[in-house]
Amino acid sequence: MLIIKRKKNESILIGDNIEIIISEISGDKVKVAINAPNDVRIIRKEIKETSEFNKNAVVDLSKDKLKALKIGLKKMQ
Amino acid sequence: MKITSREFGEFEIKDEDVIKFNRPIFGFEDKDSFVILKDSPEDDIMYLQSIDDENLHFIIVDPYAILPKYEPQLSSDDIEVLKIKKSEISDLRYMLIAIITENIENSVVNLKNPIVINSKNKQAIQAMLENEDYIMRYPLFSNDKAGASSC
Repeated sequence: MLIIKRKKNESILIGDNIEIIISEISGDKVKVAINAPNDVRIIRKEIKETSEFNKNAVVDLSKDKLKALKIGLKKMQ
Repeated sequence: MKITSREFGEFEIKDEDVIKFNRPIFGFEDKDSFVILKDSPEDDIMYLQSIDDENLHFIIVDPYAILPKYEPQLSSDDIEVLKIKKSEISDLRYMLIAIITENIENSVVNLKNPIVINSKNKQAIQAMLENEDYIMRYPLFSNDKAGASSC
């Protein structure tokens, strides 16, 4: 993995069309500005992970299984 | 309004029961209207049923049935999307999306990204909480009743 140190307002170029600018640094947070072509999809990594979780959450669940879950939860309380 | 669910069949719902997502559930960008279905009013485990797609539902769980000390911290971005004032935070209700596994003992719930519903106007989002210790795969049947501090 390439690691580069940057200061505020400095930037990084990826390929010919993508620029990542460090626009603000405060405490443990960094604000970045990204210039990229419209067809480049940019999302926060945690959103991709949450999307994958959600897709795995959509499954068939019979009422019998739901009943077993309810009993399990009641037992815990 | 009449809707159809694979598990519950066809039934009538009131307009005010419809939950509208101001920002869709992550990964389900084309679905914004859902309704909560449960077998009996005191159930802590429910279906979040899509109104547009009878085959789409999530299993959701009341977080306080699992973690009585659940204390979600919403980001300012999420508060903005929900269009609420800080004073209205007490109107919000939280639900956790569950992955129910073949062996139900291994089922997990997502503490980090609860469904947040404004109980006054039924506007909702799936949040990206600020709480750093809330994990995405927390065991549904956990023996740790003390809170999420040790997760």
